[in-house]
Amino acid sequence: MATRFERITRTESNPELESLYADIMETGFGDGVPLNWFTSQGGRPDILTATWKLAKAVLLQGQLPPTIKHMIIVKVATLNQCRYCATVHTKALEAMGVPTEIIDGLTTDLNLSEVPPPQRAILEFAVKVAQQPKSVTDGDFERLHELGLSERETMEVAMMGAFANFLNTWADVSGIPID
Amino acid sequence: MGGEPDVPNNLITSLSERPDLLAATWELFKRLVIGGMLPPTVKEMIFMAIAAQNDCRYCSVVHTKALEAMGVPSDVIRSCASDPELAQVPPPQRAMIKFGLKTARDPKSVTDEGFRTLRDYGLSDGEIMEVTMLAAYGNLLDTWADVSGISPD
Repeated sequence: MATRFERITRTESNPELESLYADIMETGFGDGVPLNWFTSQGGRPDILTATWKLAKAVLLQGQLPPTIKHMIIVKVATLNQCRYCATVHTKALEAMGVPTEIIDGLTTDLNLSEVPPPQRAILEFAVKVAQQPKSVTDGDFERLHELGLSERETMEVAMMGAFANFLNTWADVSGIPID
Repeated sequence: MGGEPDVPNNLITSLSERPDLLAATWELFKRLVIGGMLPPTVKEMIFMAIAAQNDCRYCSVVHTKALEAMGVPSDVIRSCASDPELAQVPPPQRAMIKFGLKTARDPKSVTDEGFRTLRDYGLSDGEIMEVTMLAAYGNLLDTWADVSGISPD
């Protein structure tokens, strides 16, 4: 595959990019230079400003625990066969101390039997959103509410499903290698 | 994002319980759709074609209205919505829409040849990035519209 988007790693002459990269790395998405997912967007700091804001709001901030959010991305990336995203977010789960059998189950066990029931329900909802948004029913919403999720938290699960696809799409089209 | 004058459309209001998520999705709209490098008409055409591909009624209605307001002929709008060959769309725009449709449907199927085609039409890498992001964002908007179950404004 030819290089599709140059990965911009030097920012001396671009204060806007410099401060964006600093903000990205502060949250752990890169060491010395941001992950390839971000540097491949370095040619358009205006777009990166927005994708980074979305990543921060949906993935890093918000109301759900970070572990479940990275689990959603690993699961959706596996189904989309996005190796880049599956790898990045598997590493994130490992760094958070999530047990290996749970992480492995995300990629190998369609029934998610190693995942505790509440997290399993959240994952199943997010997968439906990502794969077939029209198939999500009122019953799917009720199931999350019965497990104690508020409407706002359910919105976050839905947005995570959509966002996981978004991450995968950029990784696949840009053709970035694993960091 | 269109809608009635002075009233945000249903996609916006459906996120009002989560201003943090709304602000983040709106930022993408500002940077890609209001700002950006490509002409507004081709961006709306890409959204229109992807909404049709995803069979997302809400987004199809919104983008049809937007294209009509921009003065795009109705046969061109119909072509974006229902003609896989996009016969009524001029070739450069057709190439961008096809690239966007592939990106949205199966990002792995985008080839180096697809990039070359857009470069041959004079698009810079930054503009190709914009086409790609518009497609990824179009899917995100369609997904949100479908899951939230909003009806046309």
